[in-house]
Amino acid sequence: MVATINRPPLYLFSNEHMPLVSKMAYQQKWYGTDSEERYKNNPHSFLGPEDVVYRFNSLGYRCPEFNADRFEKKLTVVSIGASEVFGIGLPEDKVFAQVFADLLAEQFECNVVNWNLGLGGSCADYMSRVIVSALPVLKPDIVLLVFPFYGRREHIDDNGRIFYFNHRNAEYNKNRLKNSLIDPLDATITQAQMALSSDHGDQINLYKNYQVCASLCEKYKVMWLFSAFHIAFFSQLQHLIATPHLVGPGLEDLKCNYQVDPGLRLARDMQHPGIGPHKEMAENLFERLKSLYFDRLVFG
Amino acid sequence: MSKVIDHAPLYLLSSEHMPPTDGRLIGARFQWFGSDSESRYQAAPHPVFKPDDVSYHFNAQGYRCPEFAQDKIDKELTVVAIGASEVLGTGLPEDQVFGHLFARRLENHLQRPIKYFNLGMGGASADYVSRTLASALPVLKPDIVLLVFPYYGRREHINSLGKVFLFNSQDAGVRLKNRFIDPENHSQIKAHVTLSSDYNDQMNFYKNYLFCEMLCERQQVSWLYSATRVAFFKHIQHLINPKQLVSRCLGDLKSKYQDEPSIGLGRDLVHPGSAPHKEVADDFFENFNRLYADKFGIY
Repeated sequence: MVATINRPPLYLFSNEHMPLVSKMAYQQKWYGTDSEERYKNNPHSFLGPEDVVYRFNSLGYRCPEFNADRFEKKLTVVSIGASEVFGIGLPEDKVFAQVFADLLAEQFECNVVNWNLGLGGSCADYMSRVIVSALPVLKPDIVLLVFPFYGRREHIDDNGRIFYFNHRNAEYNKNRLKNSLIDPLDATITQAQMALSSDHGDQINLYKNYQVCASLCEKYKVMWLFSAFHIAFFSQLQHLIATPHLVGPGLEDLKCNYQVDPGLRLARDMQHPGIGPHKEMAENLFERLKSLYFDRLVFG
Repeated sequence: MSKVIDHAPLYLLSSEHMPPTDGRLIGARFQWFGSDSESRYQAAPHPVFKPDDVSYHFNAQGYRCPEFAQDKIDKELTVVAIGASEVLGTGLPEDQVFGHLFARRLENHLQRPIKYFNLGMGGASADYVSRTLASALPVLKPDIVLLVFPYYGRREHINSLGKVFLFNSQDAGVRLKNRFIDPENHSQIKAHVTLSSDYNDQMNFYKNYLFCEMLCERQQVSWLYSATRVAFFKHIQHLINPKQLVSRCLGDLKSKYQDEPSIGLGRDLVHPGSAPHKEVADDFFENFNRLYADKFGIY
């Protein structure tokens, strides 16, 4: 077997280096589903072309560099998940983790650094893989986990290329033939994943990844909370999960509260959750954090 | 999504029922099993074990051990061992399998009754080990857990109908045969082969190990782990708990007895025999003593 653990560039399961996501441009105006073409077809009611910028650090995460100095009275927050955590279609300061960090800073009069480890299209496999490194490398005080759709998977081939599988990706399925011509390897991987996809497998995979994340958070004694895109993702695992740490409704669930105002309900791509759900999620997380960890927040 | 967790017949991740292994094994009794087949024996008989020397008795959930629903005797300790065919003891009488030997040695040493549940399953993977442990801990409430992780290239897959498929990347020959005998299994295997990579194998192996470590630590059971070969842990050395590792492994010890198949190999002349199992049982006992002597009053 070829050694793959703790080696560049992926630094799989490294406890010294954060894994490389991608070498992205330092800054860009459009990203993923938040594309200029989509915007022109269906513009957002108030988020214009200049209102959202995607800035990536040197490892490809949408956050400051990881070597931010630690000052006294500084709290560090790490959020991990998929595009909802990444904040597609939203300005950085409107993404729930940053709103949460701002609430913390205001109430507890401290500096708060928010490291957004969200990755569009990712899955619970990505979350458990990243947290194995994030905890020893970044040493966060608070960890926020938002689990995406349980049917997603991450696969890394022998060349270290990462594939993300989502059999519910309607756009991908619609263009499957085109995709198989553009990227035949990706199409092959997708086909294999689809052959193995099942409710049984999905639930086991979700639980296993959740358990790895939860247990590591406990082991490293961080303050931690978790949620999901839809809180129903955990409905079958209620008897197995640490429900005090579960914060609902999920980001997608919260969209329902903004039916009359698509400007708040949706992000600039008119698809992902918008400013309203993100703000509410941040407030829910903040309240739960205080109820679970108040003494620790006040007394350090 | 259909309801699959804690539902009959698989009882996936159930905290009330042990998941059954293979429907064909439920309550079954065999003289031959897996690679320990009569045709193999007739082609190459074991120097010591005869046809009547090994038998396989499976309980109501398909495990090679006593029934689970038994009342606990006063001061009784429960030991479970989870792994693949080495743990099940393919080719060996039950009382020569390492888990049983460990339990009996502990029983003599502590002068306390020990109940031993062998949760090994032939062809199993690290996926099976973690899934089974997730139920074994709340259902059987063991005091001691022994884990033996099989080859990292193995996987378990459960399809939408709840049928369990076992995949082993080393098993190229079986794949071709399955194409005609079991086309559904063949398509699963083909998909696994496509997705198989060193990265995935190591990630999956580590994740399952970590899952098991976390569950054992949370439940505060006394636990030890090993593998078919110690080299399986080579790339994740910096991540695993070295204290709990029993580093002399059944697969590795086979080579020590390569000139003595009568004790080096099981009746199938493939799996480890009585001598490797005894050595591993002793190692598990010594490690257990080192870590948990105070907890169990071992002096």
